[in-house]
Amino acid sequence: MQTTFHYDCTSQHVRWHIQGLAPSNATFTKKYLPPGAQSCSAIFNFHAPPGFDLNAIIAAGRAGGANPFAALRAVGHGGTFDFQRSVSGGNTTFYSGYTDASNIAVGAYLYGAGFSNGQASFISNSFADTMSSNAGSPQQSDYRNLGYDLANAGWNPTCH
Amino acid sequence: MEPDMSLTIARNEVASGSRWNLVLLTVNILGAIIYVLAASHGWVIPQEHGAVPVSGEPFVWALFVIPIYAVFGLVNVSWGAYILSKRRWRSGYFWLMAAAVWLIAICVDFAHH
Repeated sequence: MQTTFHYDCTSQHVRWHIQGLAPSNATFTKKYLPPGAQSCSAIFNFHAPPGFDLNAIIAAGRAGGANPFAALRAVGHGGTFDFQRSVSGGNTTFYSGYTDASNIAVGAYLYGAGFSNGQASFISNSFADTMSSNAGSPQQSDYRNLGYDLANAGWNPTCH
Repeated sequence: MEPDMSLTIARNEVASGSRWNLVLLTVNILGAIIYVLAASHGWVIPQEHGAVPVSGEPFVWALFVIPIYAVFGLVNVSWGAYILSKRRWRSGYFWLMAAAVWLIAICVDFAHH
């Protein structure tokens, strides 16, 4: 692992880039949706990739529990259920149309992992209020709660 | 007890205490490094800064760091309580150094979200 330090005068923060953990040389492209995206409906409408399966996300949550590495692989950056990011060769394409599906996946994963919706909200709100520069929109909690509630109800969204 | 013997015992206690202080400070430094590495999984990707809302990051971050906070919080509160109860003020310097290390680590973490 290669570590470099530099002082960023514009933000007045000492930025510590640990290459490999936070890729700084990779390209980042933002698009709305990839070809083949599905429209799904479950109280709210949202877009999801083909094969979107809430039960698979719940099962991954059950298997992972409170294991942080399992959570990272599932809902972390570029994780299996982080549908909004497509990472290839270190380059990331961000699909903003899949952000709602990613938040639904987070809710369903947390349900499977055994967290209460209150715990999920507490962690998310504390994180957003205290330190996040990318604090989520109200949609973030709406869709995370939707994912949690759908998982709790055993209801898989219909997609076409 | 002979004066020489009591002096030797006192010196041994000081040496043993210093060794423990060094061990605890080293453990804290290692813990802070592990904390920063673990917390970095929840950091915003530089290219996405300000452009992308968070989704799973808070939970990944919390699952990594809460056990570290719990373990080192317990260790350092116990260490601090021992220093206060025994009035080992020299050990207090080591404790303060450990606290400074954690403060820097937390600042590094929070600056990247």
